[in-house]
Amino acid sequence: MKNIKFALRCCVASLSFSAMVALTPRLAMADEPIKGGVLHLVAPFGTALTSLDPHKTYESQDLVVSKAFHRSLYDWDSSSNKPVLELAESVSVSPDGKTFTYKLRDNVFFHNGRKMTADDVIWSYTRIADPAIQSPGVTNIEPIEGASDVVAGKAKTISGLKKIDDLTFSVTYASFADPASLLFDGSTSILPREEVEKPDFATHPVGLGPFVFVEHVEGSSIKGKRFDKYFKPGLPYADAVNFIITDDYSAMDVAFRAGEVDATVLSEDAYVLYGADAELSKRLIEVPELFTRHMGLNTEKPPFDNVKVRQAINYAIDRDLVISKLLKNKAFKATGWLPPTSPAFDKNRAPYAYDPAKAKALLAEAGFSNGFEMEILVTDSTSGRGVVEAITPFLKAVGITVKMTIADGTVVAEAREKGTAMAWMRSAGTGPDPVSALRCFDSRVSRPACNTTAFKDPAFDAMLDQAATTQDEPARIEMLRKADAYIQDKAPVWFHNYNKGILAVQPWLHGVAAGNVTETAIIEVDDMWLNAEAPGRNKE
Amino acid sequence: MAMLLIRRLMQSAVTLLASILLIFVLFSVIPGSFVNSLGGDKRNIDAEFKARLQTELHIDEPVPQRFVRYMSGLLRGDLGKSFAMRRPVADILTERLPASLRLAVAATAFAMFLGVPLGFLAAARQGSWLDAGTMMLAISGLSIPAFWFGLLAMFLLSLELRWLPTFGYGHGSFVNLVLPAMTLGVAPMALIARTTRAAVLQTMSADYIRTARSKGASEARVVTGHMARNAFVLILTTIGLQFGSMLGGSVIVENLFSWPGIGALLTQSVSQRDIPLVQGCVLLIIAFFLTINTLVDMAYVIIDPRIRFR
Repeated sequence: MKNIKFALRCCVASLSFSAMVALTPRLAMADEPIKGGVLHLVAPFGTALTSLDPHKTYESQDLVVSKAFHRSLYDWDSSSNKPVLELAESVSVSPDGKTFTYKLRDNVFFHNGRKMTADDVIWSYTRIADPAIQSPGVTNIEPIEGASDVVAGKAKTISGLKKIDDLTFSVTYASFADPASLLFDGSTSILPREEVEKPDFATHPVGLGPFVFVEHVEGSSIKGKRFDKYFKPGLPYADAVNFIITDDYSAMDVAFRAGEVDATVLSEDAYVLYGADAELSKRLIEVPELFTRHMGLNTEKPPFDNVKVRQAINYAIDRDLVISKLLKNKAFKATGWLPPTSPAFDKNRAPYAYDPAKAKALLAEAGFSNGFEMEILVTDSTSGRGVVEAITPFLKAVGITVKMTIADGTVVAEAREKGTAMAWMRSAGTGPDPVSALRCFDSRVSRPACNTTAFKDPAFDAMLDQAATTQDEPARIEMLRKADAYIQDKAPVWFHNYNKGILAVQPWLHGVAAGNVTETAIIEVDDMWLNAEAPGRNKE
Repeated sequence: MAMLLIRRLMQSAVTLLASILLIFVLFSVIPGSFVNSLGGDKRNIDAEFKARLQTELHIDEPVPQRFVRYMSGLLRGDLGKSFAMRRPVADILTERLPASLRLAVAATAFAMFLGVPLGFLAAARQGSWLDAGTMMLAISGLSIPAFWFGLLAMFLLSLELRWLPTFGYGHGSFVNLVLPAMTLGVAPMALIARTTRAAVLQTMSADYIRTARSKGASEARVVTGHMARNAFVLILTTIGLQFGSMLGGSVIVENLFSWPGIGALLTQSVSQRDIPLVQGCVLLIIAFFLTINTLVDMAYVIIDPRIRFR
């Protein structure tokens, strides 16, 4: 599913410090970038990296740092809000729209000094499809013609991948597909075979990125030094990068205030504190995440098989109050499934109003004038348990009694995917590709694959199919907006919010790009630079 | 002595075996599996991919079959392969153990070098302000949660005074070690201080101390030659138990300070349901505890030969 890629990407993007790069001009100031220094960043999604082999990792945490060492065929461009060619200088499309011929750049080198060729791209994609590798990137490669045979162990090579010369190759898809959205993710990085086949590749990665791997202290830090043969002239600016691996927001806060890290992500509480500080508040960057926080409703379990009950829940809760009081405004209220950074987001659409009377009326129409009891499965977090505690009184007011069950993420996921849960709180990846995001309500998509609410509506499936095969972009976007509005109306979830990622940036850290900020823009550490006052210019 | 050691080792082996069985059964019955942890709270992993992974990792096999597979590997010295990291568990533990040991030794040293003198002082000045202050400190040290103490220490020493780095391993350098060692060592320090005080007070009133004094032995001789040696059996027990439990007790501290030890690894592997890695971590923690306990038992015999005959 494209969702994997997108959600991963979003997660990485949303809070990755590279986001600063694409940020406000006021941060970049008028100075010319200065070379040198060591970037001190944080990989904030976990206590360890799972793998340094980008083909073998599922974790957002790994992809935060992977961008420093690896590159894919495409990359996300924040200014145009779409994937753009990265390792190739051009691509041509066959008349049937299924074959894409790429001309690779002639100046792309691996960290071992060897020039990248078409063989490397083909080998990398074939490796991802190899079942022995168990690569999560396989879903991005599988649409290529013949890839499913490799995945099934019936073939060793992908018939849809053809080398034309050392710098030219073609990709043929089995059916209509968008390679840009499939091949920009870190899990499709291009790797050098001779290095991957060495036994220590998983601990000593070699890639095409702006920094050469230096050292990984498992569970603590990972370092890289500037790659002088990086294909983007003059980049990276910094001599080295050092990621501290942690998910402790309190420690990140202290380290940021002490000037030990150049940027950090903020929790809800820290957002309030930083916002109230005259100095710190000047350098806060708010990024709408490509996630939609919601309460999933199992549409196969009564009473949620009744659309009126689902709509009633959406009318019953004052989401503005929850966002302002509980989440300290570190969220944007949800008006549908697609978030503001999605190209199909409809900024004119209104969210469900807080209307308890209407909620009661809908419940009465559905035959639940005396209400009912519902169990909500949550994780022990602000966005899980905290939100359910906050919405319980609202639901009680319309007659719905909430029974909250707290479990860890794995247990919630299992219950959701098996269909045993009645309702659950979740933050789902919903971008950047709106078709993939909306497929989570496609009748033909299984629960484990994405359709966790088991929503079934042939009319919606048809709308989505039509949008997916429409090549005229404005028409396609319009169709997707309608599909999103349809889902909002059918309410298979309680639409809560789109999380607001908050980045606090030190005054000495600068980026280069200005313009639109989308969380997927980020991750580019090569554009970051430190001014003369940066502590990172004087220490390792 | 040899018999004692053999008896201890046999007891340890039984404990270890029971622990292995318990961990295995527990992780087999609790809900949630590794493949579901991949989806996490935000992502969707392709259903076919999950199914394939489940089969390849033998997750869908019956529990007895998995147990036999695990035990046969264990008997060959093979702890299995981490589901998430795709590397041998033994290799991962070998990489992480030095950091944990370094932290455990430093925290124990901190606890011992501060706790023992404080306990002695408190006992020597029983009923004085020094005694009251020391015991207040000890109770505070035992009561404050490690993460809270760590944050306060971070705030003071890293942010306000800028003496120490907030977090990170820094190749185990002294400046990086101080904060986590203090945080991990503060509760054992308090316990050791209290134990030392109690042990010394008990010894001070013993007949042989009065005898030593009446024979005209100097106070230094009484304290070091008679009092300390006898009190030390109890103190050593406390220190040994505290040191033995540090590998498992460092989970919060290692996470807070980005310390690359076994504790942080255990947290991560539990949340990922990486069962081989969890089993490896727990096995190591238990083995470490049992080893230290056995060594402490051996040390008793050396310090106080009477124990041998009990």
